[in-house]
Amino acid sequence: MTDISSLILQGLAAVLVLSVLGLIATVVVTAVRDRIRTARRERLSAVLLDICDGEDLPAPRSTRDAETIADLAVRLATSLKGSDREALSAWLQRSGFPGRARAWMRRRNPASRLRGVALVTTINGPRSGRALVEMLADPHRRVRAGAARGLGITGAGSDIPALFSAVAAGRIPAGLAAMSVLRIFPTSGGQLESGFSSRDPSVRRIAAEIAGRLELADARPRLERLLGDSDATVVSAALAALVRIDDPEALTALRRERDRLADDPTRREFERTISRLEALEPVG
Amino acid sequence: MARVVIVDDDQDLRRLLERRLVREGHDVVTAADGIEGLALIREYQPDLVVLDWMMPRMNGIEVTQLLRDNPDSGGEGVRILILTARSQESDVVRALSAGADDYLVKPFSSTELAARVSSLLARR
Amino acid sequence: MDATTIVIVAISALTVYYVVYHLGYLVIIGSAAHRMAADLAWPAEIDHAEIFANPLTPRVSVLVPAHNEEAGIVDSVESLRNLRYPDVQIVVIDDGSTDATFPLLEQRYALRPVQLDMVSPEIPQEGATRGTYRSDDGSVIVIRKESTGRRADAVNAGLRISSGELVCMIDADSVLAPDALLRLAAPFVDDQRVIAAGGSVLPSNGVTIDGGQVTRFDLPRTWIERFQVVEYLRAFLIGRSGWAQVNGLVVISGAFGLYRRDAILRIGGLATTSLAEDADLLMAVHVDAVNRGIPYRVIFSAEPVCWTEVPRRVRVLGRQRTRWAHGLGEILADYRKVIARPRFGALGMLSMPWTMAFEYLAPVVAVVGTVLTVAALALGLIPISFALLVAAAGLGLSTLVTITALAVEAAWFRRYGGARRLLVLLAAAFAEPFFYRPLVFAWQLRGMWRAHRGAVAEWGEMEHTGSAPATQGAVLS
Repeated sequence: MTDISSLILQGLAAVLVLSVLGLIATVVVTAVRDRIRTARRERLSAVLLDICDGEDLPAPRSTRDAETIADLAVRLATSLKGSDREALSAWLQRSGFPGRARAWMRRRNPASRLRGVALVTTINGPRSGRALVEMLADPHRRVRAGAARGLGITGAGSDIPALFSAVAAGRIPAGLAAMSVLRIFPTSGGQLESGFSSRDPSVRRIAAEIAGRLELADARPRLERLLGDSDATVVSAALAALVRIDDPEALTALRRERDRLADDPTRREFERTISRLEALEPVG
Repeated sequence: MARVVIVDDDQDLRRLLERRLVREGHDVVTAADGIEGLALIREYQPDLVVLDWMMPRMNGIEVTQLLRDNPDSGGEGVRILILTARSQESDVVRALSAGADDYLVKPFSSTELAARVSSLLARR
Repeated sequence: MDATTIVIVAISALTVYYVVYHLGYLVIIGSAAHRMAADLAWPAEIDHAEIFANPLTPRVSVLVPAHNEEAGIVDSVESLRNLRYPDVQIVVIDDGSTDATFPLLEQRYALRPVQLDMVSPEIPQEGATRGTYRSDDGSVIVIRKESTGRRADAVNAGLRISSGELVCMIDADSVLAPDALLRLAAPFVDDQRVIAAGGSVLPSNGVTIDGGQVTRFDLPRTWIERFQVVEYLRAFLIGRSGWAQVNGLVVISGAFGLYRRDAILRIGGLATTSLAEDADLLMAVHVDAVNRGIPYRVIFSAEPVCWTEVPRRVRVLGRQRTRWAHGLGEILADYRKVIARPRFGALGMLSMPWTMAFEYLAPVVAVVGTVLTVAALALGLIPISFALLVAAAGLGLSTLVTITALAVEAAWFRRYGGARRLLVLLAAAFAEPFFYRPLVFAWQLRGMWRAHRGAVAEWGEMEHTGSAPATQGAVLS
């Protein structure tokens, strides 16, 4: 009995001492690691600023340096536009970073794939859009969200359908897609066509919201067709968008749809929209 | 040539701005937070301050208010340019009514910033 | 069977209880470490910059119930005004304060009476509204209402007039780090399933706060506060990270939590009958989501920080812990149908049973164990060496758990770096089982007794924490 208990106690004491040593080691190791990382960042951030100034420096040789530069560039680029940013992305393209980004996007670790997505977004080269559209099908939610965000930054109107269909396929939330499409800044209702005709009501809803927010006047006929939508949230979004677009032409369609409705909250919503637009209609 | 103080907590951005404005021929010093920035402004009496909004210890709007309320603390008529990621209408109003002279939203172009700095300095 | 056998069986059972508890805790810590490593590995710069800049980023209404909070209210609101988040609606609910809470706000923000639109009139409110006010620049809304002695009623009053798609609840003596809300809200944007999120809450005692920002960081001076720092790190930071990993979070602290507005509206607002309104809210949201059969997530983010004041006086701490245990007792009784039901997933099968067995009942087991051991010793049924072995093993294991938790915090966050702070925390870790935990156990027993009798929950006047969250979860470990 005594033998066993002293054995257990000694074992426990040893584990405790080890855990304290482990804690101290953790603190020391992380402090040293931080110092090394900070020194590397210091050195490479100077390089990065030279690049923004338009200097042409050789590509980094070590993988670790390349990774750090990529991280720093992604971070800095979120605050920059214009010539600094162009100089940065031109240098990244020349220095083999598109290849690194592609390799990262194929890694098993989802955080590494998102790192690839972020780098592709920052490089913003000729093939960035296509790479990001592919990443909308990534198995990890957060990587897909990153790809949608990247498309918002780099994207052209031609990428909008991909965002809408990612929502319809349940790959990204509608709200996130709306943020990205708005960021792309479509200039005509035609660019939202795939959204208006989507089978997913949440896609039709965000298409209407974006048309309203950007006051795309040529989207009016499409919005009028959504007034008869089977989904109430789509109808509300279309009504709100028509108010923002502010075109009394919409009154004919609004009155026609209203007359088909019973006296319910939707009808009252129509009434409100109509009276707001009537206030704008030229008298006589 | 003018004396410029840059206050921003992002080190890379601070250095980028410093380089750019030095190249334009200005005399530049930098600080990493509001308190440090305020001390630097008192000591250095600059013609213009480039201020970030969101910073540790004291934010850019508070620094602006302090400078405007106590003219002796930073030299009379110091120009203040707020440089921030906050882009809402109400933010711009809040900054300008606190006494800022100009407002530039991040992401920004350093060429545009340099042009605004020259324009602000020319207005005296 | 003779007395010796009975005693040995009983003590063996207790030993199994403690071994399961401590090993289980180590597994939770391991799971938390894994979670934190995965969370911190994500590159987040673009996500955060884009969410910050986008006009469609969901609005967050921050509800700040305040009952006699003149000491901290301005710092708290200032920290909200300085948040790195594009669309924050700050709603302070002055819940019948008799001190300078309202005059301070009125003067600082140039409040003017204003008529506010009722956004969610279906949410009940018991204490009558006496007035609604808005600041000059529109950034702060204040509702003055009569107190019913319930924090939940104040939160509900805020819900009725706030409009954010996301609702954040904080304490009037909490100060948020500038990035805290953005980091906590980002998962709601990226993932439709996320309906609630808890952020890490740390004691602000010892930390210098000026103008709503942390300007100097240190550990508190007194040991009673230091023990609480250790406890917050182990139970609220590491423990909750671990449970969130399996979607089994039982409590999101009322000091800092974020919810989707529609999740709260579906359950009709906060229950004013519960003493632990923060735990009750999360449980109701869990149950509603499970009943609707949709996939959902309740997450915990270890990185966002809310600094909150913890009691520095033993008497006040005692009242708080009694109330927490009482509240937890109510929650376990109200939601007993969740316990051991597979359809509630990890919540029903793991975290609720765990909370019941190892948090709620721990003080009872501790008392029974101590009495039994002492009695057996006195009667000469067991040798003293055996009793010492059991006691030393229990203490050693619990200290091991604490030190492991400290190591995990040190590895990922290093908020408490520096040799001196490390030594202080270590000393607190070793001393806690002797000096701090017996006190907490005693307070918990008092709370359990009240919960058991079904006593009407009293809302003790709390030295500037009158509207403090009801539970951080009964804590022990």
